[in-house]
Amino acid sequence: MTPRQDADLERAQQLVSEALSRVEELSHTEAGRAIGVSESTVRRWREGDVSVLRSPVRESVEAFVFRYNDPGELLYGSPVVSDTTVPYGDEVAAEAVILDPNLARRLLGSVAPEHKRTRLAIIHEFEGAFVEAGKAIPQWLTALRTEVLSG
Amino acid sequence: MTPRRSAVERRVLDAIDFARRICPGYADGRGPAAKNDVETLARYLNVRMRVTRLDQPTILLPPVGGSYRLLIDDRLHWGTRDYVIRHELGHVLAGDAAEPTVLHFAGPLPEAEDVADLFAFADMVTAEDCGQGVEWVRQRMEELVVVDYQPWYHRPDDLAPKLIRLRERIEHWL
Repeated sequence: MTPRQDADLERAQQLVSEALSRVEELSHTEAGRAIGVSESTVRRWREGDVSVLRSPVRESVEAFVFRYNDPGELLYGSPVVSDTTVPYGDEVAAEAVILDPNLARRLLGSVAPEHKRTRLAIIHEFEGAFVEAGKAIPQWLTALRTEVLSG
Repeated sequence: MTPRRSAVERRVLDAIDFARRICPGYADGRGPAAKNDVETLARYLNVRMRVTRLDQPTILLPPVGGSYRLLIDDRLHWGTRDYVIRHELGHVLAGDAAEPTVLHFAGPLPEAEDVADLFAFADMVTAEDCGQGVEWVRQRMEELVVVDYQPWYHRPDDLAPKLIRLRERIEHWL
């Protein structure tokens, strides 16, 4: 392993350990929903298997750790899973946390082009998600807003 | 004799059963659950709500940054807003929110819309109202949900008998 990979792994382990410490009381499934990853990922982590996180998963864990700086908030932040919900597989979990142009375009595509206010509201949600995660609003999102405004 | 449950009823009953773990008075037949309890349910389900100006009554987005986003048009009156929130939470609870959902009244409705509507009205229409018959329940729905959207006008005709039947199932199963 290169020093860079070592540092990545160390940071990943730190993030995972912090996230897991906030969901100790929850089942694998519930913890996965709270963090935004799959049940099997939580199980693997709890067994100590933390490899370098894939980008979307890492983004999710970072957002989770950032969001719950105050552990007291967990009560309201942790979603609970019922038997009636769709199983939260890796793909769904990854899709849930990716903040990329494809997701934004897919959601915008579900609204008629003439419904400009609804489309702008969707973009606003993406902007909010970036701000909540402590990230700068990316250029593609600004471009999308311009596109909707001028469209 | 044990009443049989249709697939839709089974899904609505499961959703109500789950909702009651967080919001104990949900669909207990005595009137709408407290606003705070419904909001707590939304937080548990990781649904963030925002009232804003839209071109339609509402839209529920699948998780963006880890949270469902429920956008509600700021011109909806309060009763309709209460309905919209419950309807969309019904979609989340039933696992029908992987794609954006909007209020959907026109044409042949997917099962998911029945589940979400019945989940909402089971809480908003009382057991006493249901005891008054189909016409009464139909009018009650029209009072509760006021949207200037032509396809909605016939929706209560379809929903009222289903809600009365569901009320019996709730009393029996939950």
